[in-house]
Amino acid sequence: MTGRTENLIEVTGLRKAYRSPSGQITQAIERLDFVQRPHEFVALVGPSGCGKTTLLRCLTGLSTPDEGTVLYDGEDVTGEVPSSVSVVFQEYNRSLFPWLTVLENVRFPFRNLPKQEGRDRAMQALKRVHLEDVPNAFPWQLSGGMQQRVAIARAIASEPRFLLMDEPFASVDAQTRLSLERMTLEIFHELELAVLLVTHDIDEAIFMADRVLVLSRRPSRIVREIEVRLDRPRDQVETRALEEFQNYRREIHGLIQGGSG
Amino acid sequence: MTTRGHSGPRLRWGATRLLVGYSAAGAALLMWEVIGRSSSTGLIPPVSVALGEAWAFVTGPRLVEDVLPSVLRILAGFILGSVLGAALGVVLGYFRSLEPWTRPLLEFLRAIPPPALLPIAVLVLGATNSMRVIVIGLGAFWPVLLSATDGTLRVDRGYLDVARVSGLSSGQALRRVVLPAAMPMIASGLRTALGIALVMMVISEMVAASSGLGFFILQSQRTYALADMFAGIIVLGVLGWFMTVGFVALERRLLAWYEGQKGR
Repeated sequence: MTGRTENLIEVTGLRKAYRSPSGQITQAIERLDFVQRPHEFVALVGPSGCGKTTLLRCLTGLSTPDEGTVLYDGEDVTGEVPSSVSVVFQEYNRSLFPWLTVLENVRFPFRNLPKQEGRDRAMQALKRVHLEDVPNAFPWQLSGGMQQRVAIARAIASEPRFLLMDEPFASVDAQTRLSLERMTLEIFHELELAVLLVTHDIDEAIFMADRVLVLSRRPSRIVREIEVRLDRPRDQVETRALEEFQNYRREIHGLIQGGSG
Repeated sequence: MTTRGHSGPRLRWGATRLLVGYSAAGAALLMWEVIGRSSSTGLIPPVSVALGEAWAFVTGPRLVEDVLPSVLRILAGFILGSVLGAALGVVLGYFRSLEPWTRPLLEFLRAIPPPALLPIAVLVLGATNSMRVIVIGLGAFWPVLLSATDGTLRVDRGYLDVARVSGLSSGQALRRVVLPAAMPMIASGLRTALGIALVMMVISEMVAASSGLGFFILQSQRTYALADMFAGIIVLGVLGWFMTVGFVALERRLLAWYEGQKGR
């Protein structure tokens, strides 16, 4: 641990309000505290409009929190873009560059590497998402699911330790969604990443995560933290059919419904 | 379009279009020829005479004396004006806080028709080549500036987020993300700018010049060499047409991604 804390990320007392174009101030996050260990899969669920995306923007340095700190590997990175953190955004068609090929998109974050090395790394990442045969296609020539896989390849190609995913499977069909979830879990195991998954899908959160943080409605705070004690590797059919799975789902549903009542 | 994707019917329709278009153009030329031959005033030489003069014009010493200076001036002016316009436009669009400061001034300046600035340019810079290049550049500058500003304002925030989390500085994001994303809109400004540049080239060559297509056309009119005058106009038209074709070819190549993305 070389004298560092054992948590990869520590969020303390995070508060964030934003001002709408009409000047109205909305408190998006009331107060958030949470930690995440290396190689831990955490899911954030909550009702829609609960400030999940605001939180994610604060963690990646795209927004600066009004109060509170974000420690990454023991270092204060509040309001900065931490290196060795990667993000997969919700809308692949707004995050992949249409003027670059698949390979060039994946290479984009590490453009400073020597050409061959960059190419090799990008190809390796494309292999992990099973897209090594279309490096020279343009993103808009691919299906939605394939585009999101390119976005995932880009995120892991820079060899991050921490992967943030903002509703990454919300814009694809159900079948594609299941296979993307499975693929993400494989990558999580193989690369020993820490993953923070923001989602509004309760089943997805339980299926993927070691721990689920349930957020309240705006101004959001964590209403409960649930350890998911389901064996890995998990199976889309078997795991979801387990009684414990149903219990977790009931519990989280209750919390989210209760929060809105 | 119901025929989309079936190349057969579309191709035939394309061929019909070409045939119809060329027939109409041929008919217009024929009419010119007939009017020219039957006119007793001598104001309209027949098209065959004008075309013959035009051919002699571009194969003789005039090519270097008049056509070449015009081509060099419009290329220099167009490149100067559009590069400056695109650069300033992207910066104004990217640093949104600059916009309120500059908008009224720019709106006023662009409302002035560029030919109106010619007398000032002659006064300040004299009847020189650089004056003509600058006047052409000024004409090209405004449409590119405005389209680059708008194009940059419309760049998807998602792209900028990716640039930031990828650790790009503002300058790098401008060059590698904002500029390519705004390029389709900039290209439409460039197309307008090309037409204006051509107009400014001719006008600037009609004021205190001793070479160029504009000079040649005006000179021919003054000396009553009407076949020469029409020849100059024909050469000018062909030059404009070449530039447009070249521009469209370049646009197709560089913005293939944009057309491809739209088609889906």
